[in-house]
Amino acid sequence: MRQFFSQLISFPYFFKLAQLSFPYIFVISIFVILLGVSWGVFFSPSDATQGDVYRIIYIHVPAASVAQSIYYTMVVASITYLIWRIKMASVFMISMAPLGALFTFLALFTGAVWGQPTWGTWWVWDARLTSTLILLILYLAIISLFSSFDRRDSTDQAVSIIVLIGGINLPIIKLSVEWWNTLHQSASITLSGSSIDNEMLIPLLISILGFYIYVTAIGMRRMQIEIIKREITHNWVKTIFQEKR
Amino acid sequence: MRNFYFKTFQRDSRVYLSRSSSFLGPIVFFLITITLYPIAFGSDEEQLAELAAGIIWISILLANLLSHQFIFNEDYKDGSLDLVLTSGKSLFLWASIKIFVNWYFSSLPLIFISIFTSFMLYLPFDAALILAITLFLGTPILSMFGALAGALTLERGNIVGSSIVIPLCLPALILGILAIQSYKNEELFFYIFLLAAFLFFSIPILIASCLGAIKLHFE
Amino acid sequence: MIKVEHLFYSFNDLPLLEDLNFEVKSSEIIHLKGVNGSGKSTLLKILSGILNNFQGKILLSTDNVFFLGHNLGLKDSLTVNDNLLLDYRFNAEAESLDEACNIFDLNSLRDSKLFSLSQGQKKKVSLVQFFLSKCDLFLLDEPFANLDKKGIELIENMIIDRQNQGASIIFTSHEEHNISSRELIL
Repeated sequence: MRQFFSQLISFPYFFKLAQLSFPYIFVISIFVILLGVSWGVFFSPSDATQGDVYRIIYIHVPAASVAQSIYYTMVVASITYLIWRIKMASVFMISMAPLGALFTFLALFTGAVWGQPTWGTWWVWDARLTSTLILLILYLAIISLFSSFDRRDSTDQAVSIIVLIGGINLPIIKLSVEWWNTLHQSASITLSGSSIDNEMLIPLLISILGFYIYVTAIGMRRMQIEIIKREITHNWVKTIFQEKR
Repeated sequence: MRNFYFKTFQRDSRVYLSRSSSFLGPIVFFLITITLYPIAFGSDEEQLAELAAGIIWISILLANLLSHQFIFNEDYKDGSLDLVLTSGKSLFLWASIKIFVNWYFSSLPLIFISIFTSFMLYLPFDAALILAITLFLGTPILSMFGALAGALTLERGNIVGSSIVIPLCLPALILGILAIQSYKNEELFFYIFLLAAFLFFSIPILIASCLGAIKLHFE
Repeated sequence: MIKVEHLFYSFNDLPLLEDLNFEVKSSEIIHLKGVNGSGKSTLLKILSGILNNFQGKILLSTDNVFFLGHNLGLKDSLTVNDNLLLDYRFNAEAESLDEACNIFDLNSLRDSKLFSLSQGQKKKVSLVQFFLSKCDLFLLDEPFANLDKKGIELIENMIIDRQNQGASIIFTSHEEHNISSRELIL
């Protein structure tokens, strides 16, 4: 286990592993997403009060879930980087932040599209929407930090510091935003049991799973690109490109 | 008597006082922003009274972040930071003193001025007192976040820095405004307590992060 | 005084200092030479403790180090007097301050703000700081730059004075100076 982990954080080994597994993971993710979304859109029953509009949750909920999870994994990576100086952790943060921003935007966009027919407005200033918007701003701010240093180590460290501070602060922001406004309907999926119908829940869970696998695949690709950018002068990168030819 | 930390205090205070721009800049910025709101929203007494707490807090937040952005920047450029690093003294205390001096000269005057501007915005007297208290607790948090923004972008010193930390300041803003809005209720003490707790926990975490951010530039 | 063993330092994966080994004894004057970008300033910054991200071993027998860098560490908006009184490295007595300012012809400028001074005059202020500091090790990056002939002689004499008091000095310069006990080329 220990050996496997130490191999995983070495750039050449990870690169080869990602190169081998990317096509499979990518195809599986597309398949699972298609399964979940098409099941949800074509076969599950329509909602009693919202009709067919609600079906956008098969994209909205997975996107929102992925968007938040990416941030929490980045917090773990930032701690890893700050304590053990594992370069793979910073590669992970820098590769994932744009993905996080993208999915946060997707969640906000689908939420707006959903909100227009349901609540009659594109946007409401309620707790969950507001904290998602702040998450998006935080992602963009982190991305804007990528280019403000001459030294790459400094960039990595600055990004980890701000990701960590944001990670500590994010629950506080959420809590305070909730005090500020508690209008939103409470979360539908809870651990103790769910209030939505099984026939809607199963495709939703499949879709969520698909999104996570998709992010894993794309994240691996992005990490590969970042690794090549950093190691372009190293011999193992050169030999890989020579093999290709 | 004239030890390292006392000298840091004196250096920074004299630099501040020798330049009217760094001293008056935040005040001018604050007063102008305050004036813009009634011009944009109209001078309706009830409406302004309702918005007053938010207007003042937002204006102070922006003025504060702008003035704290360059707190370590000058020391970095003129080489004073090199000398601090060679001295082998506690950087934590050094940074705390610098942030305190900057807070003292740029935020404290704003707190006093904000009491007067709160009357211009028709905020009731009791609420204005609460406003001053929340600002006393809140502005040091803003100062530390501003200092962190400056420390992260020492070389460039641009708008990126402050835009990173504004979302992180949000709890202070929300708690401050909630406290003012509930100035008649008992909840007031709850929000003020939370704001004080936020300040208390921010001090070690944020100053340590400032130092971490400064050290990035010396590797 | 200083012992450096297998010192490596790199900037963005580009090696700047590679396997550097040398020793400096007390009462030695070292003239650090090298082409532009060879890492002279970087070496001085590492020795003074400003840069920490190096590999290798550095043994210093003293904490009492004076560093004069490219950026002089002077505050532009303070007067010459304040800059000297509030320097981190020494506590100046009024008499020694008068004496030092006399030596460098700065007496008439003591109440003027630093930004009104020329580059050479600013350099002189930082050399007053050098004159007033009592340290065991002096790391001087280009102490002779921007100075006239008289100033250069003055500094050379000051460096020799420091040597006689038992301190070690490492300085960088592109000119030839016959005060150094030995040269170190990067």
